[in-house]
Amino acid sequence: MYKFAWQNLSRRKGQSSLTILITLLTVMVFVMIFAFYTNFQQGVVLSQERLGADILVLPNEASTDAYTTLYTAEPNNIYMPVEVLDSIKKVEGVALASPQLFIQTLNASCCAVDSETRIVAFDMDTDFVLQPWFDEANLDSLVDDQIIIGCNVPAYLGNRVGILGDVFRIVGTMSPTGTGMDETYFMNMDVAKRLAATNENLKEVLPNIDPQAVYSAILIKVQDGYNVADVVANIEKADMNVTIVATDEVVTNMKTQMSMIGQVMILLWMLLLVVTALALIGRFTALAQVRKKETGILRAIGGQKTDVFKLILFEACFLAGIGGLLGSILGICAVSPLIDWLQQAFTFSILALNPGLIAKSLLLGTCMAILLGGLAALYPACKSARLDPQEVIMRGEID
Amino acid sequence: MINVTANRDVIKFNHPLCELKNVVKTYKSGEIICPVDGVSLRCEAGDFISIEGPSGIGKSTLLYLVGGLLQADSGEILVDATNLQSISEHDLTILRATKIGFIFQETNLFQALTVGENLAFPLKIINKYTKTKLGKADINQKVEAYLEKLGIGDRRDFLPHQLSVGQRRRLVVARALIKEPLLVLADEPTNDLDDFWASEVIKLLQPVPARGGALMMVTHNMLWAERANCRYTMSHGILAPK
Repeated sequence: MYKFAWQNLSRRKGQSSLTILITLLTVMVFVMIFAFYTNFQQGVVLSQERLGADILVLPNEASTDAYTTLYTAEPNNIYMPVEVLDSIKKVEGVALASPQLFIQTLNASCCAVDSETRIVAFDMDTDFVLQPWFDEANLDSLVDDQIIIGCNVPAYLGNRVGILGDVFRIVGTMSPTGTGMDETYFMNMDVAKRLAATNENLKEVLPNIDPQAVYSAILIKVQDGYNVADVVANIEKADMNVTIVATDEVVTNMKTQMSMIGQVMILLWMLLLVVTALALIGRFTALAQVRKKETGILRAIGGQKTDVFKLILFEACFLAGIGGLLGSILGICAVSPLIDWLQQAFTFSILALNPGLIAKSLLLGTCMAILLGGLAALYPACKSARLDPQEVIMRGEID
Repeated sequence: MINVTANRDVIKFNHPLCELKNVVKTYKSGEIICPVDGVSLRCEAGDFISIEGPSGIGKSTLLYLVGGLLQADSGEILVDATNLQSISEHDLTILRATKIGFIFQETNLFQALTVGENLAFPLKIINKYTKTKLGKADINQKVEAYLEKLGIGDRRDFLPHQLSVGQRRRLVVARALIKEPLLVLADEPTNDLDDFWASEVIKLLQPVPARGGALMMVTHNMLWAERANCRYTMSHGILAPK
């Protein structure tokens, strides 16, 4: 009976293709939403894990935005006095505090990075955010002409790159974090201060800034046994005129916002699913109707009711399964450009699709399509199985 | 349960192959129509029965009743000593698959199957119900033989819509005969055929009684009706010997 079903499908290409197309489109949309949303959620969790800092202290300036600082690599030239670091180290509950200085690359430099991107300078002595990566890469420290790049920076290990008139050697690429770190250049604090003090073009971008006297951010690790919120409160009490952000709060806010967008997307997809289910029910009912006489003949020459039922159900599930598989593949192919496009429009960073998520999306999309096809064909299959063979042979398609 | 036998080279029966006892069938279509009104008939192995009569008089209905495709309102229909009214739907289907070959008035074929696949289909269905199953090679051999007999051996891989009306008609006849059923019910089997191919179809049907089966044929064609050993006419629901 399964061979008969296959012959029915393969030789009725027009009808089969239409059914496949309907399922394909729905599953494609589903997989795109699923892959994007799941990937985003995973990325946010990973960001939190890899960020390493519990609290981010930023200058209390109008342009300060923790969100932009964490999730984009746009130049973010905000500064606070170096004395803030000493004050923070004295706050109860602070285990580690490491300063960072933000400078930036400039446009149109010959033989150099050709866009404006943030450069993060870190203090090798106190850093705990990049240190785990240094340990993994077996590097002790960065010498003056060395830089590390985020995983999405378009340069390769061993490359040399011109930044603000100096040539640097890329000695490492960071693991993906899902944050703005993925598009950032990292260099030694002393080198960054020297560049900021001597590069005339950068001085124009950063007027009235003494690089020796400022930091852009201080990353804090809370002591074991201390609550992050309590340490934030302690820093606030010290009245240092800074913006204090618990990184998990930023992550949670972002998750909440995306969750709402996700809910809207899922609602729209559910509506699409209902429309598709109705379309498939209509198609399978019409197909069963057109083949009424054949159903009658099948029953007359010895096919059982269950054979008719299985035949229609198998055909429906098979077509939907093909549509589901193709839709899943197309959905996966389309989700990467979608992510790129959304990243340009919004300030967030997402990891590249991982094989596990791709496999999960393919499996889920295909299974969902088979289930949808089976449910949509249930009524026409039952109806066809109950047909009186004599009636349909004599009366044909007339109901 | 139906006693299913796949190979019936030698058939000996101590009961009629088919027996109708005072069978009544009515339809309610606005008014009550009674196309079969107390019909009794006994059909032995080796019988070739023709049923004649004007169109719309109930001849096809009678065949559908014997073939188990319609339920009688009253009376008894026995096929190979099995009372069709007393068996389950499932067993009735098995009986149709294994013991009855039906040639319908219209050339209903599976449109997605080739000529060869359409012919092989009843054999594959029988395989579902028998212990001694026909192998692929046996099925192919039978299909080839029938296609040659019908003169459409070169059309094995054609789809039904690629055949002429006459070729389709011959295919429908072959589909009923290929499983060598005990009882062949033929509803105007020479419809749409020219004299030559009609004669060829009758030649295919005639061995059915000869091998110990029975043939019940509805026809308007006197020439073919005369080949039958028992001739009946039907009028106003009554079946009468001619």
